[in-house]
Amino acid sequence: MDPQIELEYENVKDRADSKLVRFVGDLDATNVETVLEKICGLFNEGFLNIVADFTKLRYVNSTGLGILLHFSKAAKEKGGSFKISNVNENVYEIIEIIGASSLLQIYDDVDAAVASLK
Amino acid sequence: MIRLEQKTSVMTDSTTPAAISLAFPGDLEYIPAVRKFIAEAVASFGFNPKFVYRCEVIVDELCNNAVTYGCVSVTAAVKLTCRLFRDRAELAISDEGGKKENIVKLEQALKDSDAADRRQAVDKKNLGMEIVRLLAEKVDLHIDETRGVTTVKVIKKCEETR
Repeated sequence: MDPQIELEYENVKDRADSKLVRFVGDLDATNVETVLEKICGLFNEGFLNIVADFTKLRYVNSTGLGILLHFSKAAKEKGGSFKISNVNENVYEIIEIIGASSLLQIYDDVDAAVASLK
Repeated sequence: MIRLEQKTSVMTDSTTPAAISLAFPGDLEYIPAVRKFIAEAVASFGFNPKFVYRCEVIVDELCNNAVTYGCVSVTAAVKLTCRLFRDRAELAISDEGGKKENIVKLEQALKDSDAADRRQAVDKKNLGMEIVRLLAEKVDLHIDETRGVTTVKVIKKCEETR
């Protein structure tokens, strides 16, 4: 079965504790386990700050939203952060409608998210 | 295997819908194909992209709920009917019912809720049916105990008439 989502990684300049992750495709119940494994793997490798670029994330459902909230909580518990950028209008509507926009750190673009890293 | 049971494309007025019926096994792996098929059908009838996306989300969440809670036997299937009118989509998703406690949870999830309930839904990760309730104009639950079938019927109206 087509996994429907790919994660692309890039280092963040001058931040050895941070990683930029580009989400490409659809995030749903069929691939959250894979994404969970990969992002938690980054946390365990010492990347405490994850900047997620959603430019090419077409779709997210409630299961995907649940995993994003989990990443945010897990990062905070480790003293880091999970920041989201470039969220398209449709995905943002799903985040907002459930009241999760206040629970997630959302930025207009990657530069703004990186600049906010402590 | 996804089985297309019926497809009609007659839509001459607001009371004569185009209809698609399909059935698929109670397995999450089938859902992406189902939701995209319905989204493409809705788009092909000229609805705007935002309406198409919302319909895709509703179908996804209802199918996820049906597979997760309403398919208890190995041969369980989910049946989906989509009827497209000029100003709205009517969706019906049926499963074999599942456990009584899950049906009670579904009934509670579909009741009107306020912001505090929504936060509770986030905390309890009961997000899917809350999203459906917030996106749709009407959501009804039908339980046929004699046949052991639970059906969720949804009406999603399009703000812009095509």
